[in-house]
Parts: sequence; C-alpha cells; structure tokens
Amino acid sequence: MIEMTDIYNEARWEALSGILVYDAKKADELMEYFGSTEELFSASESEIKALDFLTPGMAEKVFEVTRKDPFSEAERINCMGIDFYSREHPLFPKSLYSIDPVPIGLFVKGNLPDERHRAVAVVGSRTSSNYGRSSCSIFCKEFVKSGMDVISGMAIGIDAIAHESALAAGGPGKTYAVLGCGVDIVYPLTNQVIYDRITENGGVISEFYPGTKPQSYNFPIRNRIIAGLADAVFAVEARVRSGTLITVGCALDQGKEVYALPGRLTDKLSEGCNRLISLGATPALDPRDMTEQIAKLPPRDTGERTTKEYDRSSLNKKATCVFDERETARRIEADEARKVYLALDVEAKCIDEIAADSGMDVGRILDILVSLELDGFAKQVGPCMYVQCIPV
Amino acid sequence: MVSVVFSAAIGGIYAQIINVEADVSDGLPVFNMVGYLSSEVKEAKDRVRTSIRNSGFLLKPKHITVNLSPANIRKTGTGFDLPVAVSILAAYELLPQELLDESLIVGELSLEGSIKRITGILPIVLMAKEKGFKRVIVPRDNALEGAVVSGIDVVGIDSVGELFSIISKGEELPVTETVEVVLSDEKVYPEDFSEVSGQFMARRAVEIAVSGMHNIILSGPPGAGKTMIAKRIPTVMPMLTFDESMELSRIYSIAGLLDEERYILTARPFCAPHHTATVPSLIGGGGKAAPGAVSLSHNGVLFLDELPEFGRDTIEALRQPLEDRKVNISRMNASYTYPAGFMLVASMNPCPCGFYPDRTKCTCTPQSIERYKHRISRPILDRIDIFVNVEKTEFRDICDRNRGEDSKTIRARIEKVRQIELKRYEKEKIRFNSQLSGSMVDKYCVLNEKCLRIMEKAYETLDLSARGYHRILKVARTIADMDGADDIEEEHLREAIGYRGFM
Repeated sequence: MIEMTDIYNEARWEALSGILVYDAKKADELMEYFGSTEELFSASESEIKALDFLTPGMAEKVFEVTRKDPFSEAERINCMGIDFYSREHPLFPKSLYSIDPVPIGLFVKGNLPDERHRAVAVVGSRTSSNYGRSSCSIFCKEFVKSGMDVISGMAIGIDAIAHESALAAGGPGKTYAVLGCGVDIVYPLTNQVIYDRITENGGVISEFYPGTKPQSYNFPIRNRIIAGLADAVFAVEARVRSGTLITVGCALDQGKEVYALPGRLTDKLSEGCNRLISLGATPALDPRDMTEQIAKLPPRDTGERTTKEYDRSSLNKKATCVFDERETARRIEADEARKVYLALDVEAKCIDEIAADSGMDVGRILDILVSLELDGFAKQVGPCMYVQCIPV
Repeated sequence: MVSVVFSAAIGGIYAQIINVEADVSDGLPVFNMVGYLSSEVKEAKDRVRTSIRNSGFLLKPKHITVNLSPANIRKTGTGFDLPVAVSILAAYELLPQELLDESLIVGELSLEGSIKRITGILPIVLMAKEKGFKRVIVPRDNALEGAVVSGIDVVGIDSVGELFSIISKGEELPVTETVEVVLSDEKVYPEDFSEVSGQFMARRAVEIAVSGMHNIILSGPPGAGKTMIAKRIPTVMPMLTFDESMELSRIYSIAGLLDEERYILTARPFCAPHHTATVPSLIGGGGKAAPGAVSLSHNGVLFLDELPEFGRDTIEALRQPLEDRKVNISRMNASYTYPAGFMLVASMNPCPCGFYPDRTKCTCTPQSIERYKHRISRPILDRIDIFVNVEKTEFRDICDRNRGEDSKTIRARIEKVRQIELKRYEKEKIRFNSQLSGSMVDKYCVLNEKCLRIMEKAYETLDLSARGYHRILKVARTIADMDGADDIEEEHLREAIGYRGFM
C-alpha cells in the first residue's frame, strides 16, 4: 500500500523526469546531495544554483521545477490514463536497477510487465524481408503461447510484426512496447491499431514525459530499457551499424542472453545477425528450444550474469524445426500443387522462375498458386509474385 | 453577280458543308468577308486577293462581299482560302457556276497562287460523298488522303492558275485514282512479339488482356522489358477493319498527323505520352479542341510509362474516357465528342528504386513503397483488371534460339476469342468482356457451386473489394473464352484471382 507521502514523492519524481530524462545520472547526484526529493523541492534558490555538478542552465531548470506544484501536473497526466512509476516505486521493475543509467521513472499506458514472467526482447530492422517477418512471427507466437512476454519498440517492420504476432497468439504471455516518445504519442501512425491493442493487452512504456516528440536521439536511449525488461534479446534481422545492434549492445552490457536469427551470407538484412552469431550469440534455430533455454536462465531482477551452458544432448535431438517445407508439403494433396509449393521460397519468386524450374505452363502455375494461397500455403507479395507460407 | 461555292468546316471528327457566297457589284472597291470568322479565316482576304493577282488575273475594282454560311457556325482553319478565291472568280464570271455546283472545294493559298495542304481532308471527303457531291477539289498534297474514299472523285490541284486553265480549256479535271486500302498486310508493324525472349507470364497476361480488352499494369524493375512488351501489344490485336481504320484516320486527319507516306492508318496506334503530359494533351482540348492522346490511341494502346510519375490530375482525367470509350471536349464555341476506345497499358516500378522485393538491391523503406503505390489514383487502379510482374529475362532465355511465339500466332488465337465475345454480346451495346457492367456480370459470368466457394474464400482471405470481385469475374470470363469453355470453371477463376495485383 502506497502512503500519501509516497504519492507526493512520486509526483516530484515525475516532474523531475521531465527535465532530467537525458541526464538520469544527475538525479543520482542530486539524491546523494539532498537525500530525498522532499529536501530537493524545499531547497532554496541559492542552494540549488550553488551545486557544482549542475550546469547553470540545468540548475535554473531544476529550480523552476521545484517551485511548481508537482501534484497538479501529475494529476493531469493521470487523467490521460497514464501511470507513473518512479525508480523509488515498489512496482518499478527490479531488473532496471541494473541498467545504466537507471531511468528516473516509467510512464505507462496499460500495465508494467509482470516480473514473474519470462520476457524476450524482439528487435529487428524497419525494412524486413519476408523471411524475417515470417520467422519473427513464428518465434513470437511460440514465446507468448509458452507464457513469455514479448518486448519490442513498436517501430514499423520487425517490431510491429513482433507485437502483432504476440497479440495474435492471444496469451498467456503479453506484449509490451517501449517507446522513444511520450506514451500518448503513436509513432508511426500506422501502428495505431497495435498501440490500441497493446494498451489493453499489455502496456506501452516510456521514460519520456508524455508529449515528448519522437526525436531520433530518443531511440538509442530507450533501447537499454527494452533490453533491461527482458531475459534475453532476440535479433531477427539487422544490417550492420543499425539500431538493432545498439539494443543488442545494451543487452550484452547488462549480461543478457542474445539470440540471433541466422540468415544467408548474401543477405544484407541478415549481415548483423550473422555477425552476432560469429561473436557468440546463440543462433535461433527452434522456438521451442529457445523458450526452454530461456526458462532455465537465472531470474533477471537479481542482475546476476548468465553463464552459458551448452547442452550437448540437444545435438543428437531431432529438432522440432518449423521451417520444414517438406513436412508442410505433405499436407498438400495434389502432386502438381506440391511441386509448385516446393518451388516457392521464403523470398518472393516470380512465376517465370517456377515455370523454368518445373516446365509447367504459367497460367496453370498461377491457378495452382491461387489455390495454395486460399489454403494459406502461399502469399502474393506483388503482381504475380509469391512467397512460401506455412499455414497456421 | 452572286456565286456559291461549297466548302467544309470541321467540328470534332465530322465535317459540315459551308456555302461560300461571293457577290461582285458596282461601288467603292472594297473586299468584305463576313460569316462568324476566326482570325485565320479573316486573313484569307489578303491571301486570296494577292494570290488571284499573282495567278495572272486582273480583277476590275468592284465592291466584293464574301459570306460564309451558315453564319452561326464559327469558321476556323485555312481551308477556306481556295473556295473564297474560286467563288470570287465565279462571281466575276471567269469560272462556270455549273461546275461548282457539284464540287466541294477546300485548300489554303499562298501569295503566289499555289495551294497548300490542310488538315481534316478525310472527314471532309467522307461527308462530301455522303451528301452526294460528284467531286472534291483538294490540295494535291492531300489528294492521297482523300483518295481512300471510293465513290467520289478526288481532284488534287496545285494552284489557282492550274485549276483555271483546266476548266477554261474544257479539259477533264485530274481525278486521283482511288487508293485500295490494304489492311491485311502483315508488315504493318516494325515490331514483333517473337523479339521478346522468355517472359512467359507477361505474355500470358498480355494475351488475356488483349482478348478481353482489359487494362493492364506491367510492374517490374528497370530494364526488365516492360516498354518492349507494351510496344508489341498492338501487334497482337486483331488487324484493323476498314471501318475502324476510317474512324481512326479521321481523327489523325483532323489532328494533321497524316501525310503522303501515311495517308491512312493501317496499324493500330500505340501512344506513349510522357509523364509530364498536360491534361489537354492527354484528353484533348486546347484552343481548337484538338483530339488528345486518348483519341489518337483509339482502337489501339495508350501506354503510360512510369504510371506513378504522372500527375494526379492528369490520371484522374482518364476516368471518363476509360468508362465511356469517348471524350467530350467543351470549348467556348462548341462541344465535341471524340472516340477514345483505347486499351490502357501502364508500367511501373514496384518501389521508388525499382528493385523491391529484391532486398539485396532495394533499400526502400516500407513506407516509401506504400507511398509510391498510393501515388496512383485509386479510381484509375479500380479500372485496371490485370497486374503482372515483368522480371529481368534469364540469361538462358536471351540465348535461347527458339524464340517465343510471333505476333501472328498470338493474334490468330486472340481473334478467335474476339469472335466469341462479339457473338455473345450481339444484343448488348458492348464488344468486350472488360466492358461488362455490374448487372451484365451477373448475367454472363455465372459461377457454379465450386467457383462460388472459391470466390467466397478469396473474398474473405484476400480482402477483396466489391469492385475487385467484379474485375476478377470479367478476367475469368476472358480466360474461359480463351479456353473455349462456355462456363467459368475453377481453374479460370483461380488464375483470374492471381492477376488481381497489390490493390
């Protein structure tokens, strides 16, 4: 039960987060000096301006904030359906105390993740291939079904797919989005539907004050929270020198387990992931194995570092590989249709290519492809271009 | 004395008789021209006077009045110079009026008295034949153009002096021999489909599109051969019939696009306006309400290369011609209707850089790809039935000595399908499957139980619109016709669904 004094403390932290979000370390120094927010807010102008660790501009801002009534502003934010959890709040995620710098507080629309649940941060590039999207979807659904939460950044591309598939899987796991702008801002706007559904079936989280615009420099900062809230980070597709790799870097700093989806050498979008694997990240080969491994990790709130254990028995085990196209093809009755299905690829293939390989007539192939599409085995991704799918 | 000479004015693609009356009387020596004249017709006054003098006539100074009637039609163009001159000469009793009564005369004059070519000869000659004139006197340069019409004498004349000397000596006027219009000549197109290597998907889609006159979009990376394929689409269309050729030549005649080498159109047109084209150049218009690209591609192909680059207003203006197969152009003085029964062929890149979905080359973001697609106006996309991808030809296809089918073979198949369509729509006002209206789709594209189930599933899983539903049925009808099937079968329907594109 939170007492009245704590509510004021929360409001004061909330006001401070508005000005100190980019200098969360200053908050540590302020607390070291004053001991509590109450002391800080009752400090005199000269006392604040005399602090040597604050720049004059920063001191001015801090002073201004302390003169205002933090409670009325907190009330206004609360009326927008946004909750605030300061770093001193009992529900503030424990795992975030081990990240650097510790966020001053989190604004939340919806709920904070349940710390008893395992969570996977799913990260990837905004431009994605069909291979990345379909793999991401398969893994995320498996995570959620096995009770793990999916954490991502609600950007377009892989992030959106991760949230979407987590929502589609239904539960028991939930999905949480950590934003680089205020939680009241939907960015990009195309994710409005995802945003609405996450606020109801999980939560939208941000350390930025409501109303903060999605500035490009916000995103690398929030990436540490994405990694911090998760037990493991799963990189789906990333080019080299990308935001995805920043998140992975944060995860490595925090001692989190890193998984990467292997890709082809020729594929630019897989370059980052393949390099991660070569550096020691675990290749994501099977969603079920991955969930089992993550379940065995030490609890994340202790901040205890993982020590990798190699389960050699898995080498001899028959993988429950989800990408077995031959296995899927057995579900197709007609011989010709099966042939066309196997000629498809996870990347878009045009009909002339299939015709050249199979020697069939293009009109007939298109006919078969549409029947495969209606049964969920294929998908049209451009005029007369198809990709292979695995029906749910 | 008053003389009357018959001439013609062009309105839209039709000509109309204009009486050129001249009166010569005593009085102050003035030359007046009346009858709602545009400035180029008013200027005829000076050209006529000078050219008559330079042709060797010395006219007594008299009061000359010329009237062009009916006076409520605006007279434009330079074709009235010659009839005005002839009319004045007749009024001076230098030419016999009887000869003029059975002739229709058009032509522009130069100061030295020679006669220069004008536009719109074909509609004028066709009108003269219809009205029962014995002959049409035209500039010699235009004679071939007029001579494609049989049953009327087309007389090509070089100068006023020549005309006068022939008539005054009582000689026969030199009638240009009627030109036999040969429409079955196989060599009308310089291109042939056999030059396209591989591209079996695109070939199939084009054949379906032409068979049912469906509009088509060719999508693919730069250099894949979209334009090459588009250029060969007219070559697989059935050869022009005489009536079609006449209708088309009329348009080209008034647009001034016919000459001695091409005095009649024997090939189906292929018009490829640039993406900076203005609305009037595409639809028709301008001061003279001239026909635009949509009319110049009548009975042929209108090719819009790089469709998303075209201005939204330009593309939106295509809605009426696409729907009605004709355009109405209204200008201050008149409102004209031009035929615009073209097949729309458009090409586009799949994304701004052109390489999507090849992720090794394409760096476009998903938003920029969406934005690119959205640049094409929705109402126009709704009128395009077939979307097909054109990929870069495989090396083995380029090297393959066994070239693809030639235009003649494809055309023969298409002609058969067209026959089926013509027969089916005998009692309707349409000719092609693509023209089927909503109620006609219900009548002619009946689906059996199995097909209905496919359509139901497709409607739900593929997120089709009601309009998309109808487009698929129309394409399915064409595929069934190509198969010689009376009813649409499952395979026809499924293939048609495959061409629905990304919309």
